[in-house]
Amino acid sequence: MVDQYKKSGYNKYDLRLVDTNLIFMNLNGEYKGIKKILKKESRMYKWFQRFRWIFMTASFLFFVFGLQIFGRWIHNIDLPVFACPANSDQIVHCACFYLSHLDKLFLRSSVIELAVYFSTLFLFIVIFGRTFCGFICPMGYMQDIAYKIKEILHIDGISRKEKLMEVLKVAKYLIVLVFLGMTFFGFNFCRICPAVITSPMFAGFNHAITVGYLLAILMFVLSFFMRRFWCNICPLGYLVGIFHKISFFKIKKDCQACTSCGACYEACPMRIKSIYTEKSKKDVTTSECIFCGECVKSCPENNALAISFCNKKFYISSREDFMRLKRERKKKRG
Amino acid sequence: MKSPSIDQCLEERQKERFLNKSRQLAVKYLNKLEELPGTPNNFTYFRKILKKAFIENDTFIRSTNEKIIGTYCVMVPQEIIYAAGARPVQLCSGNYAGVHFGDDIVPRDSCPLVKAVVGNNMVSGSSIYDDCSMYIVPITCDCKKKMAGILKDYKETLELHVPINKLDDTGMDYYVKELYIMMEKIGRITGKKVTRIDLEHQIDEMAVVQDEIYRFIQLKGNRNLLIRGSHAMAVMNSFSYDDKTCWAANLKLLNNELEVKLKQKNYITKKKLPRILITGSPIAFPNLKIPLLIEEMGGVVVADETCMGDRGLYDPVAVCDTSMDGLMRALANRYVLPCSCPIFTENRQRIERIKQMVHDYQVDGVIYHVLRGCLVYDFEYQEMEKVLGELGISMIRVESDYNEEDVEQIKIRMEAFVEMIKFR
Repeated sequence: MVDQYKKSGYNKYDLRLVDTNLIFMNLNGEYKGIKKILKKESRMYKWFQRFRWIFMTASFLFFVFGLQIFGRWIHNIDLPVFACPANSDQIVHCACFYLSHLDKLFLRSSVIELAVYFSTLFLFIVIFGRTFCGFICPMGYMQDIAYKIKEILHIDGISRKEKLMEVLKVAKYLIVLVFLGMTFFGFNFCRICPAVITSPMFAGFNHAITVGYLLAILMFVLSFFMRRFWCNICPLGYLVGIFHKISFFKIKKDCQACTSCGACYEACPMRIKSIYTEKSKKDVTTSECIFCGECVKSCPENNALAISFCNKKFYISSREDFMRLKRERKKKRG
Repeated sequence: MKSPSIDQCLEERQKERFLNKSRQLAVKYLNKLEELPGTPNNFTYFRKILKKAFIENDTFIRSTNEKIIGTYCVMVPQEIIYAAGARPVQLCSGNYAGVHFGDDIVPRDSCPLVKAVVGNNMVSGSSIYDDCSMYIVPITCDCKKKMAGILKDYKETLELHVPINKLDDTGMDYYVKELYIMMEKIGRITGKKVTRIDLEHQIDEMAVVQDEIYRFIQLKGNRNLLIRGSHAMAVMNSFSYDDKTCWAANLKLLNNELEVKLKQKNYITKKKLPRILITGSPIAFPNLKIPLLIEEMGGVVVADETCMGDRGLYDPVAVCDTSMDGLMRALANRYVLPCSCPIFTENRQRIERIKQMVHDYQVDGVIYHVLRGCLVYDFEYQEMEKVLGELGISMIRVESDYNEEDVEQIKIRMEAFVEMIKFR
């Protein structure tokens, strides 16, 4: 049988020519050309991740050199990201400074300044939530770069286990306490903060925080083996995440369409298990979710996972996209 | 476990009778498949593979000198076997003749599939069993567990420990470790060390096959009938008996044929027949009794949720991390987590899966197939009936064995079921 097919040139038959676009069933079981139905979503599968990288790179550059280009006019806005304010060239201010200096915030600021600080911060948290972590935070960007290097080198990472995650969770709560409370004991979080690796270092601000640099190097190495290691214990991210229930960005799941294949759990840099185990709720956003979109990207089921903004799903998982992505990756490898 | 007296008693004549019987059975069911109206032209290839493996008793491996590894469940990652330079063959048997022999050493109440497998091993002569260099038996249900013990007497058998609860990460970690051991053992047989690139390449090749399978499943579940479920089941069953690239190329031809039919609106039947979904115990090749009976009685099988059918090949591997460990984890996840086999303690996902299938393929009725002695499936019947009852989908439980004696009885029930749906 094999010989017969080899003779007829079967093995040369290029299977990549299989055009799965031709056929697609919509939910009514009616055959339609897929191109019309899925036009909007099919672009998203490519662009969501690209957009994320472009956005992160751009915001990184803004954080490092922004002030020199755009001036000081939005300098007083506080964003909930880890861009160290020790770099005074940043285009916007970073909320972490006052959160770790609560005594300064309450003693020295006027009421109007306080109101502006908290209201803008709250507004950002409600509208964007932890998308800041996935799209803007320079600390996250550094870690993503570290992980990208690992991916290119194909080195075995540390697969995150449940026990390790429990330890990290406890560590996170401790760090939150240190982050908020140390300032009242004559010490502050900035002295040990690993975020010095982000903008001050690149902008040429040299300040002598040795512990911070050591921790920063440690974080970089750890995030090489474990994707987004710092984000798992990030105190600022946790404080933003608390408000996930009223945030506009959500991860939605269709529990019926889900086959529980665990791809989302494996792909998730924050190792959120409930996204995979949930079997009844529609909203599977947790305080850890950073909206990196990896779960939707790796989900092979139509409509099973989606990222939504104000209940409007804009990045939806589908088998077509999953397979297209796989084919593209294969083509890239050659 | 093995009693040597049986081996001694087994004369040449007995062996011949066994082979004749199994051949007759395969011929009978292949003829039945052929006689069904609306057989696609490109079905011939799949018929030929099954004919070669079950009637001519000649595996494709004999000509290529490759090692073959027998697998006894869909929870064995085939990519690893391919990457190690061997070929997997699905050995879960539907052979009625095997049951007769297996009955001697397997207890009466165990499932006929295990009896048939043991019987096929006791009587040497069927090539797909004889050519294997090693067996891999995932420890799933009780019968399979004891079967692994018995098979050790006949061939080198590797037990693959499958986690009892999928939600438990420790169990999955252990399974990944088992896969490394499996890879090493197969490597020892073929003399090849599996590299990361091999594995990645095989995952890619399998993805191409799965593209076609997904397309096939979608076409099969089309609103108007394009291919009969029995044919589809035979196609799925033939997967492991030929080179996978060749198989996929032929499935592509079949898909293209069906697609042309779809565009020309050349459906098998214009009538609206009851659309039926089969779920439950495995339906392995010669035992295509249930789907064939449904189709004889005027129903159409539009989807199936059985491991030898769509379930085993439906889910793709989702690679998130391209390191060796990442690939192994992705494979472990794909072969265990989405599998809705009831051997897992918590199996809510099977019900959700069936609800989704009922919705996607507009199913009118569900047939819950239980092989006699297949307890795990029986356990889940109650809840399934309750959930489907709420949806207004009728379901019957059909118990069958590996013989022809229950055909008439099943026929009557099936007819009543199909008629009931028609008049609703």
